[in-house]
Amino acid sequence: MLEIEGVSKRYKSSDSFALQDYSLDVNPGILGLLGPNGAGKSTLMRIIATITKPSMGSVTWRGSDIAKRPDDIRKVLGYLPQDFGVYPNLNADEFLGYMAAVKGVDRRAALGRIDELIAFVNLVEARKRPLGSYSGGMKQRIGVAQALLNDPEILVVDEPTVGLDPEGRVRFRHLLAELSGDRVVILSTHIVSDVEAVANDIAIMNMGRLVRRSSPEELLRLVEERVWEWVIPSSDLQAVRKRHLLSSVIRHSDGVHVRVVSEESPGSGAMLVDHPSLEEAYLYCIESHRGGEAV
Amino acid sequence: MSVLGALVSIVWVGFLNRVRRYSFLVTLVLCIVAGYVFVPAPGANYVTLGWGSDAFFYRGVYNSAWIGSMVALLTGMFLALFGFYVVNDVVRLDDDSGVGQVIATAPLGNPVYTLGCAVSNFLVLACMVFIVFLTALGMQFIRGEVFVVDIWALLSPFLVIVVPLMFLVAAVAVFFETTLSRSTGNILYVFLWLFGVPILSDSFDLFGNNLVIASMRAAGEAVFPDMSRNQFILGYSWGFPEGRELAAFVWTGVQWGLEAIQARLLIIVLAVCISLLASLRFNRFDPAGESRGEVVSAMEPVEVSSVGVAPIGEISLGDLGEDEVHFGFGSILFAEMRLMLREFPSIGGMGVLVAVGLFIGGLLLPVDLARGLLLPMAWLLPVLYWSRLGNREARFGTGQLVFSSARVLVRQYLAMWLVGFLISLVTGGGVLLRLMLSGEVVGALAVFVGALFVPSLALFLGVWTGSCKVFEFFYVLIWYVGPLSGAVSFDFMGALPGSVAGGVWWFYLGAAFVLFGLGFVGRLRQLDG
Repeated sequence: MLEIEGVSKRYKSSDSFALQDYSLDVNPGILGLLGPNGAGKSTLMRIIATITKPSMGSVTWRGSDIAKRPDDIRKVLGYLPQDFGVYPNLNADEFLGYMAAVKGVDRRAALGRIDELIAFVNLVEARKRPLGSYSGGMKQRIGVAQALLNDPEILVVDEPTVGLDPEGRVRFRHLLAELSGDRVVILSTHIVSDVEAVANDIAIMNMGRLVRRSSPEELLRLVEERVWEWVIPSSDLQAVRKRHLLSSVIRHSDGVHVRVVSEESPGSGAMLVDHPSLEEAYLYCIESHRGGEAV
Repeated sequence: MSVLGALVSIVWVGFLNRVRRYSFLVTLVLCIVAGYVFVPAPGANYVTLGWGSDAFFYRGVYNSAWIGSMVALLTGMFLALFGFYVVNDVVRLDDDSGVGQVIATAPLGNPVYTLGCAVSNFLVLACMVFIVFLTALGMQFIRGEVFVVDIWALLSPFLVIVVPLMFLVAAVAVFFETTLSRSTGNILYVFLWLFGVPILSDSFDLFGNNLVIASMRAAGEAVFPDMSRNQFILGYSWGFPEGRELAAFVWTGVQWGLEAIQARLLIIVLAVCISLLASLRFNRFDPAGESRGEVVSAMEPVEVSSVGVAPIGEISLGDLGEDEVHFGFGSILFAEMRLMLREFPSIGGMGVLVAVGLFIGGLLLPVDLARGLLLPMAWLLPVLYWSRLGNREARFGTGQLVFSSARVLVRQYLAMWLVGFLISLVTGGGVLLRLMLSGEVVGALAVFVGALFVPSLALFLGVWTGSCKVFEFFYVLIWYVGPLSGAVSFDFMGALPGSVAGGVWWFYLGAAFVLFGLGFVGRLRQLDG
């Protein structure tokens, strides 16, 4: 449905590429975009949301080039940017009413939809308060609600759970799971657990490039027999940290239990871990890409 | 960190924050243009300083002293107005960026902060003054009347006249920022400059005119005894009469005495006092005392939510039918209108009452009074509403939400313009009807053109600058110069019978269309990323 073909993006203010020769086909379901800060996730999201145009390459939605005909995707798009503002003197009802008008939603239909969304994002009691008095998390929930106003076929959400409390994060994951099906949902984040919970497809990015695209299961298989648990004296921790990629460090009475992502055993006594985590698979991919290896 | 260290940091960061903006480069280019224009060529059809009759125009020979003093005097007047708008955002930048929250928690007194901001403002203005000074130096060679450069004669007027004045402007900018809302400050400053400057200039020689011009006059009269009987000109005077001859005399500059220096130092002391006074009203970025708030920053007021959390399992959203998304124009017009009215919730229904009162007043008053007095007043009051057109997304950071919507360009642009036009009509419509009922069809047409022109200008400036400031400043200025002061070419609203008879409104009709189109192009550019 959404085809990204050889997309590069170079900002005028910078010599380097934010995205470079990036290609990806996205089909209905939830695609999790994972990558460290500066990987180019937000740039890709902005290109898909038609906020900015690619310097090279093309993005097509149902065969239509979105740079040439942006309205084709905008009509069915729900977009939650990483950073966005609200109108502080409006309350939730008024703001969502305004956004519904901008998105072309019929006024009567919008009223019902806004009721549903306000209930969904748990702002019923705060709906008449000016948005200027909302906390960061409440504002984020308003952002989620506006992205869903037009019942989008493609939902692009950039770091959506930042600022949400644990319960809000769980609710949002449930929502994404509910919305997927015949819709395209693209979830960009650097929080692996968000992706782990809902995505059926994962694209790992680093330094503007696609590092790997696979299902969570394939990613996990990638690090089978590559994650080790090792007990070391706490005095060795700094040295081990320098030599190896650690995914976790837990102190116990018998020493420090570290999990090491490595092709080979990091040292005597290290034991292979039976069930590596997705976070470890992600770390492995990023580290391998930094080292110039194909993953 | 010591107080001095903190002060230096605030000054330096505030300075870098502004001079690294693209707009500052544009400002510097404008300074070069201003410096060039301040020194007219002998054949130019305008003059900036001298004494003129139909037969002669008296001025000094373009040596270092004359060029330095002339450019310094004009720069002082020019930057005392424009400079304010370049620097009046130092506190806001800290607020918007969230740095203010960090500053608020630092062991730093309010007076140190506001003084630091004022000094930082001053440095920005000083850069601009320095560029004008370099241009003045260049102009001496370009005009080529005297090639010997006397650096002190060229530089000292800038140091003695302009530098203290810039310090005062810098301090007033901080005072306005901490004391008034942004838009009120923008508008009030134009009035202060228009009405306060002549008084301050006469009684306090704020711009240093009296001292310098007395010396110039003495030198001129020594050569041309009748010179002072002619009209004195300081500032732009257009239209050089045919056949008028240039009469030049040599002036070697002012010998700056202790008294003169003391008077200028007093201005710096006054500026420091104003900076410190600003600290009394400085809210230290406390969101609870938010008075300037327009932009919602990342560090906005945080309140603990009292909202209960519904059970996680009950999540379901209905589908929206295809026929329920149809991009109608009425809904977006209504939404834009409501958004506009909510910009100033405290004005609320009172604004509507005033607008209705203006409409009825326009209908009932005698034609001359309605057109010449009520109309200018009626079209000054909504300036804060018009200035919001086209820049809301930039001010509040909602651009990504709005611009990723379908068919937003034409629908929203037209809706914004219509809201502005409706404000013109509601407030000035009574006068328009009154003119029509009196049979003054052309006069009514001129008012109608004004109603088209104002929202077009506001939208154009709002879209291209992303702020309210430029419109507020520019509109109030032409409002004062044109409809209020009687300069017919600036009468965009048909308030002066002379401008109506002269067909000035034709120009503003064209301008309305051009500005509307240019604003649309700017919007298109925003949407195209």
